[in-house]
Amino acid sequence: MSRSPEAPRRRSPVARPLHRARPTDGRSAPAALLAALLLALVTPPVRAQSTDADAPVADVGAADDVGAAQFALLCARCHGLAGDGKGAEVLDRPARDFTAGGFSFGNTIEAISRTVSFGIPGTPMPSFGEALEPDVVEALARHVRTLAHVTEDATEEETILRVDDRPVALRGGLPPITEDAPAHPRGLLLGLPGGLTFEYRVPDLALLGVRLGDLAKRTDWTGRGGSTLEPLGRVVWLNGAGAPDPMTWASPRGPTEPVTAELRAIRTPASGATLTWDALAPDGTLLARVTEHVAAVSSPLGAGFARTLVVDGLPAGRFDLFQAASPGAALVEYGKRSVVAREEGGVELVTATWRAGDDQTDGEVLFATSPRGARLAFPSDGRRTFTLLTLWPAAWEEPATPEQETQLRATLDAAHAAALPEVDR
Amino acid sequence: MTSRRTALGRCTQRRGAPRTARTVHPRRRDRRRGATTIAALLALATGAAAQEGEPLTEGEPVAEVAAADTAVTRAESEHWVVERYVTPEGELLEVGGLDWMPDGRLVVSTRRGQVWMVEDALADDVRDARFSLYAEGLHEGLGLNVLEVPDGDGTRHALYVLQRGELTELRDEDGDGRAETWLRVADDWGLSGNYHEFAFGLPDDSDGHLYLSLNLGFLSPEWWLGRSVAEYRGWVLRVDPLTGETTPWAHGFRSPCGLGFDRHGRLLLTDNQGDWMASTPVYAVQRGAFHGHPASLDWTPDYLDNGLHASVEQPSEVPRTPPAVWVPYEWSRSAGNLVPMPETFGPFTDQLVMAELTNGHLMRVQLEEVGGVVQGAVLPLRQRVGSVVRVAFADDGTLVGGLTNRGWGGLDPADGLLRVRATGTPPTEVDRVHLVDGGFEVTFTEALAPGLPVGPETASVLQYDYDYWWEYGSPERHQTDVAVAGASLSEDRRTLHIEVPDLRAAMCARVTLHDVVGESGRPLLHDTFAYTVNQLADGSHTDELVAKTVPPPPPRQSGKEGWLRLSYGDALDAWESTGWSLVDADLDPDDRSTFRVTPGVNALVNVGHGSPSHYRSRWDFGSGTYHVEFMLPEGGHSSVWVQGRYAIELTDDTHGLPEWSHGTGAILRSFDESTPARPPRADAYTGAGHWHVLEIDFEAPRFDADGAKTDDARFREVRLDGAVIHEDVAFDMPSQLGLGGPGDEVSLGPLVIAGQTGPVALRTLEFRPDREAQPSTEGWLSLIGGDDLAGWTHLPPEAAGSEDEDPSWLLEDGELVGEGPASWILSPKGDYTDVSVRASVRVNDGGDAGLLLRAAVEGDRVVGYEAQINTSFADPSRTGGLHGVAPVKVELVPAGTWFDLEVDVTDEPDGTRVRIAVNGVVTTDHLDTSRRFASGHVALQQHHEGGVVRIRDLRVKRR
Repeated sequence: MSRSPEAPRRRSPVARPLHRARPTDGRSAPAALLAALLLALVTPPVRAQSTDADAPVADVGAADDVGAAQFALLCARCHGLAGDGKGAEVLDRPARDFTAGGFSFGNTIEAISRTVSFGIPGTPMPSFGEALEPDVVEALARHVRTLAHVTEDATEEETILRVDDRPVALRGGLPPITEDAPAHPRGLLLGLPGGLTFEYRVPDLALLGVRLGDLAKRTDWTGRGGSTLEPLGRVVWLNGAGAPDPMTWASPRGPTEPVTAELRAIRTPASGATLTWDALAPDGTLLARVTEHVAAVSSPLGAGFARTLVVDGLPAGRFDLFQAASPGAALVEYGKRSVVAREEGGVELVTATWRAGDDQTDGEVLFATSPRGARLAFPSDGRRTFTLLTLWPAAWEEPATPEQETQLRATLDAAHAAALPEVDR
Repeated sequence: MTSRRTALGRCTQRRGAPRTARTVHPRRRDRRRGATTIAALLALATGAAAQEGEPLTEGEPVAEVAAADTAVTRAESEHWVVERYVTPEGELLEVGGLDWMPDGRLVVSTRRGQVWMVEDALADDVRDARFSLYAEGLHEGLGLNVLEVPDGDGTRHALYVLQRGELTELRDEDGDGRAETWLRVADDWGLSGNYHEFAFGLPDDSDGHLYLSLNLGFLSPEWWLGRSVAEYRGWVLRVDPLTGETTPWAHGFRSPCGLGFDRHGRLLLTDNQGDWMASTPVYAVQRGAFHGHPASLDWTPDYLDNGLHASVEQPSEVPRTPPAVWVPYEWSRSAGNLVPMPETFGPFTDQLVMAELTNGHLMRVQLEEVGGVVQGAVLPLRQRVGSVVRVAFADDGTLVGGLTNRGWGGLDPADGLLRVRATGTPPTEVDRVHLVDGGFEVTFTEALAPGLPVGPETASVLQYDYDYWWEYGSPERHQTDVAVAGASLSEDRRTLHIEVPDLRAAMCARVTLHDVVGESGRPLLHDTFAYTVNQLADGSHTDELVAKTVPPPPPRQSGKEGWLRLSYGDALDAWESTGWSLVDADLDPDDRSTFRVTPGVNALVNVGHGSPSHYRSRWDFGSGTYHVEFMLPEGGHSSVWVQGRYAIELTDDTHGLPEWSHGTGAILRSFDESTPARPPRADAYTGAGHWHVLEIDFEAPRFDADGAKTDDARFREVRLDGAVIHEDVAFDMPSQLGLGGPGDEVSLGPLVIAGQTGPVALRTLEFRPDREAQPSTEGWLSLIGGDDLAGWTHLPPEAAGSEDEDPSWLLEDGELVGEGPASWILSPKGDYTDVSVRASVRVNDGGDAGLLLRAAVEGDRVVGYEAQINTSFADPSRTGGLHGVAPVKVELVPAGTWFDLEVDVTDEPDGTRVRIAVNGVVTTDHLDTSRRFASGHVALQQHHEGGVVRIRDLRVKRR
């Protein structure tokens, strides 16, 4: 809606009705009444009934005057001056009684503005969008809401959720985690004490990213509801730019197929948050029952997070699990650990440990790194526990001596051990 | 304002202890600012007492919910006490689900995704009820069920909550009073992300299945039409909670907020008034059946298998199951669930309580089967209690109601819980209503007063029905007072028989009882009920439904409206030709194989010296009716080519027909000769020297998005002098020697009459394009809202009228009329750049007007891209042309006839394109390389005194 500098805009400053004078127009008497009331409305109103002293009073001033004036001019003829539906106009059905609530498309400013602009096709409610400027439409909508006694929405602050001292699961729609990622109508935020939030899309339980900060704003507690959550934490780790690849599985002599993860349960006891899910083949065959723990980690090296997967697999074959490196990073391969330079500085250090049953090691498990991230491949029968530890050391130096290497390994082993949930011991 | 910290993660309460330690905000109160003022002023003006109720205050003991009492609600309060629970400070319970735990606790789920346990909900003092938070963080919770399920050899009670996207079982496995375990039971339905896609529930049947219902979405731009854009939106689903198996159950719903079973095992569902829903319906849901809103048909096997999408603007042919009860508009706009009344609640038999959230009523609904169809009555129970959306009974007969109306509005209070109990004084009420042969049988909760006079005046009956259409709701139609022939009371004085012999099926009946008093001396508490007569009780059967499909809008007026005259006035302007002239013509008496032409205006003849061209229209046409009048000399030959491609032969047979010819009216053979020429079905050609009328009803070929042809061109009907000579002829390829080649077919093409094959005379050439009866209004905003021209500017300013002068422009019955001396009127907004404007226009004989886009005032004129509106005024520039730049001189539309005008202005890389279409045919396609007008108003011009221009349905669309 740009305005050409060449074409001057001229508007009649006063909106006057342009009826041809009709001597038999029976509305002349109420018109005078309306005019008197209109005059009364544009002067500061006397409050006939006191409202609560602590109720914040919005800026009623000029905007309300415009809304009230336009309402009297355009709307009162059908909806009545009090908005009670008792206007003079004869319609095939009663005009909406705003005082009784129950708006056709919602009572938010946005919904009422849209109804005023477009009308309601198929009903006597006309469209006013081309006759009124947007700010006038909004003033009208605000005025209509006062007639309808719409209770105040939850304020910004009221919708902000923060995690206290136990983990929290939050279900809701998720907005795109990055610009190019999609929104997810079925989403999950697992918030841990200390400020880490794990963001999942529910249909395949892909971990989209990890955030640090407050949990989320429940915007769907306002208006008509149904809007997405607004995660509040800053994204500190992103899995494959927010649209990760699924885990795969291959039977001993078969092709590699993507695995569907189907949620079974979310648990948030004080001891930590877990997801239980089934790994399914494309044809629906159950491949494994998985329990996924997420935890915040702090170690002498730095802070980070751990994902522990307890996999109870069934058929012979191999799983392949991938955890992407944060985007924009260069990878240096270290065999049992991957070190990735982060865009915002520092490195991302990913290490993995695993156990099969009571064994501490398992030669059939492969942990490898690639330019895209870290990969775990393992047999799909039996029970194995994996922990993927992602740390962000503030300062990093490659160990130069065997002693430094040993020291680093010990630190990491300790961090791994601490990250394992008690349940699994 | 302090931040709202929820105690997420903190559970300091033991199971059942009341919640206290939370940092919370002050509880919000109702705010009534402007309304108070206006109401007070109105009261001053009219002398009426303003109706205001006391806002409800938290924490005080309330015996009554006293919002805007009326006489009836005060009377109701003598029989039903309504008490409001005290919810924890700072918490808002927008209730979505209610049920009872086996230990007597009430469980409540809310729109905010919380689940609360309420202990002592039935305590004598409602303030003694204690709330504790059981779970939070769910994605809404608009249904809840505590269900006894098998557990090994025994059973346990499982708590199910319906989130927006999942049916979830909540468990408190560590016994700390909080459900830390959420088990996914089922989520086999679609979510597109649209705000309106709520999931409601959650009743159980006798086999332990749970039922849920799914809302449609309302998306831009046609946000008033509900759509089913994700799986099973608009459906009821049945879930086996033990296996998660989900079965699609029924469809055709819009916003199915309330589900519940009655005592007869019927699944009842309430939907909300809106598109395809005339009022609030109560359905007895039929498995596998379609219940009215077409959007959800997309997920039925028929539609899925064939990749079809149901129209949301045209009624479907699929038979629909009608509602059992239509709730009148004044009682309900949005209803919640129904729940059967226990005997402990009140003196009522076999009926249900229904929650109503906009008026804030509790209603009574009762059902019966008549003629094999479920139907029944509805009437108020306890009104104006607040926006109640969920109701549930406790075993002791207490009715608990959960409230919410956020986003749509309704009667306050708008959140929380209430309970309703009988006072012990039973009301005098209608108990049951039965439809019987010839009328109604109404049973009362007590015997009526002895000696009460009873007769035809005891009852009045009004019948009405509704429209079934995409429009939002329907007023009551065909309201008819139906005579009550008589009324009689049974011996025990408890049953009134009302004779209504003229009662009609497929209509609702509103029955009001007059002067009915019980033997207790009390009058009837509620004197009116609404009964939905789907079928009569006399053994007859009707296939009609109460909500009747509304006929489509009436077709365009007959006559010349909709036609374009291609040879009227300047007969050659609309055609590209050389060697044709406007003359008078008849057969040359000396050589009847040619014409004798003299100066005149009655024929177009290809008399030119040298070789005349074909007569080819300047413009391109598609589907519609082509009207060509022609005359042939002896032995003459020509042909008429629709779109230049589908040809009818014109050959005079005075001297016999050549071998290749099949006579006048034949369809020429196809390009590759695979389809031979088709002779006319009837011999209607009457010879040389006579004028004939050839009319072709043509359907242009259709193409898909890649340009591949999906439908052949067709002659629907061809008539010669009124006789049908062809019917339903499809062309798999054009006629031989048509424009382009065998594969070159188009949606729009010129009309061509052969002029190179011998002399032929033409006169009236007309085309009537096929138009949609109701063109889509999607994206088209009306420029004329209301019934005055507020915001429009006049030039000169006096044209706006004054005490002495009528205004030049005014609105009369929705038509913008321009008269008087020269003036312009400019739209309120002046920032249109790429824009389309359309309207129906009519100008009188001698009148001249214009529709300008990107218009602005320049000195004492308004300039812009001007589409000319002129039939017969002296200015040679006529309707269809761009005034001053690319005129159209032929008189396309007769004076005083309505036509459709559309003007599009678009900036293109090389200039500004202006397109003008009359009755859908593009008559101007001009590129203004100078880009004279960049932006501006929509304006209308009235050219001179004596002209009258009328404009209807003026709409604009920004692009």
